[in-house]
Amino acid sequence: MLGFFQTGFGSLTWGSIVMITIGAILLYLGIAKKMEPLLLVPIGFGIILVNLPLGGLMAYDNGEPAGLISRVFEYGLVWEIIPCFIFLGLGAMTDFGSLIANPKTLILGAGAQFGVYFAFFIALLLGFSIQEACSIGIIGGADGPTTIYLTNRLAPHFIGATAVAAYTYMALVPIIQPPVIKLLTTKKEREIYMKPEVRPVSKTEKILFPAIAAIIIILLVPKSAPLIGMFMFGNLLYVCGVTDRLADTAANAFINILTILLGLCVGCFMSAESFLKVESLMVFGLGVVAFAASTAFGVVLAKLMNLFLKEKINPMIGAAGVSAVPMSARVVQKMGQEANPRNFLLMHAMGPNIAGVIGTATAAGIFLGMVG
Amino acid sequence: MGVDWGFAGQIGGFGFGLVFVVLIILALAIWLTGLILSRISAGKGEASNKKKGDQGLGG
Repeated sequence: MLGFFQTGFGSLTWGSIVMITIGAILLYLGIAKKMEPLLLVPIGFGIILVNLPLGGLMAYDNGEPAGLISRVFEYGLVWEIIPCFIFLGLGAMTDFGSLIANPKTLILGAGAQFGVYFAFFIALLLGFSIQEACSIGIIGGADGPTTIYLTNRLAPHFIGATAVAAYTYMALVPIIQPPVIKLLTTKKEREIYMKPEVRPVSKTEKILFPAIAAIIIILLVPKSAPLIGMFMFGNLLYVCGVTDRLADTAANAFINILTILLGLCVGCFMSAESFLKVESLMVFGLGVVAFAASTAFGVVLAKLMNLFLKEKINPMIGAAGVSAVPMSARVVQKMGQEANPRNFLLMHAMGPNIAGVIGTATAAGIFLGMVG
Repeated sequence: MGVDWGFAGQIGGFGFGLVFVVLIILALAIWLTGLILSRISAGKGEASNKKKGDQGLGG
C-alpha cells in the first residue's frame, strides 16, 4: 500500500483468522477456565503471533532458522533439549513415595499404556504411516513432553496437533475419565475401601529408587535414556537432601523457563498452512480415543488384579495410570469419596499416576527403538 | 503406501508387552530393595538392643 512499508492486512487469509480464533479459545480455556494454564496460555498466544502475517517469527533462510521462535524451535525442540530437561524439572517435583510403598502399582501404570497402542492401530487403519501412528498413539500416555519428544523424532509435521491434543486432553481429564470409569465399574467396586495408611518409605529407599530405576529401564530400553535419565536425575537432586539448591532451581525457575519456551514454540508451529488439515482433526479425535482406552484398560487391569489379591484394591485407581499428574489421581479421589465418604484414595492413586509417567516414557523409548 | 501389518503387529504386541516386562522388573527390584533395607535396619535394631541389654547387665 505504501510501497516502502507493508502491513499484514493484505496477507491475512481465512486460515490465519481461524487459527487466531483457535489461539484465542486456548487463551480463554487457560485463563478463564484455568485449564492447564501454564501450557495453554503460551501455546494460545504463540498461535496468535505466528498467524499474524509477515511477522517472521518462524522464518527460515535456506533451511536455517532465521526468526526468533524458529531458532528456539530448532535448537530447543528439534535438538530435543527442551522436552528432556522439562523431565528433569518434573523429576525434581515428584515424590515417588507412594510408588515405592506399593510397587505393584507400576503394573497399573503399564496397563494404562494400552490406549497408546490401541490408538496406534486405529491410526494405521485410518491411513497414517507407522511413524505418524506412533506419535498419535503416545497422546494416550497423557504426557506432554514425551508426546513432543517422540513426535519431533518420528513425525515432526504433527508436533502442533499432537502437543495441543495432549495438553488439552490432560486438562479435560476430569471430564473424559469419570464416564469411562463408571461404565466399567459397579457401585460396589467403587465403594471398595482401601486403608489410608501407606507403609513408610525410608530416605534410603527414595535415594536408591532413581538410580535403580534409571539403570534397569535404560538397560532394557536404551532409547528411553534421555527422558528417563533426566527424570530420575531430577528426582535424585530432590531426594538426596544435599542438592536442595539445584532441586529448587530445577523444580521452579528452570522448568518455568523451559515451559515458556516450549509453549511458545508449539504454538508458533501451528500456522494455518501446517495445522488446518483434515489430519489435524483426526489427530484430535484419535487423542480422545487413546485417553479413554488407557483409562478403560487401567480400570480393567485393576479388576483383574483383584482376582489374585487378598486385600482388594479399588479398581478406580487403575484409571490413575494415565499419567496426567496429579489430575487423574484427583479424579479417582473425588469419585472414591462420592462412592464411599470413608475412602481416601489419593495416596493410593498417586502410585499408578506416577508409574504412568514412567510407563509412557518407556513406551516412547520402545517406539523409538523399533521405528526411529 | 501400504502398511506393513506384520511390523505394526510387532510394534504393538511386542512393544506393549515390553512395557509390562520393564515395569514388572522394576517393581520387583523396588520390592527387593525395600526388603533388604528393612532386614538391615531390623538387624541393626536387634544388635543395638542387645548392646543396651549387655550394658544394663554390666552396670
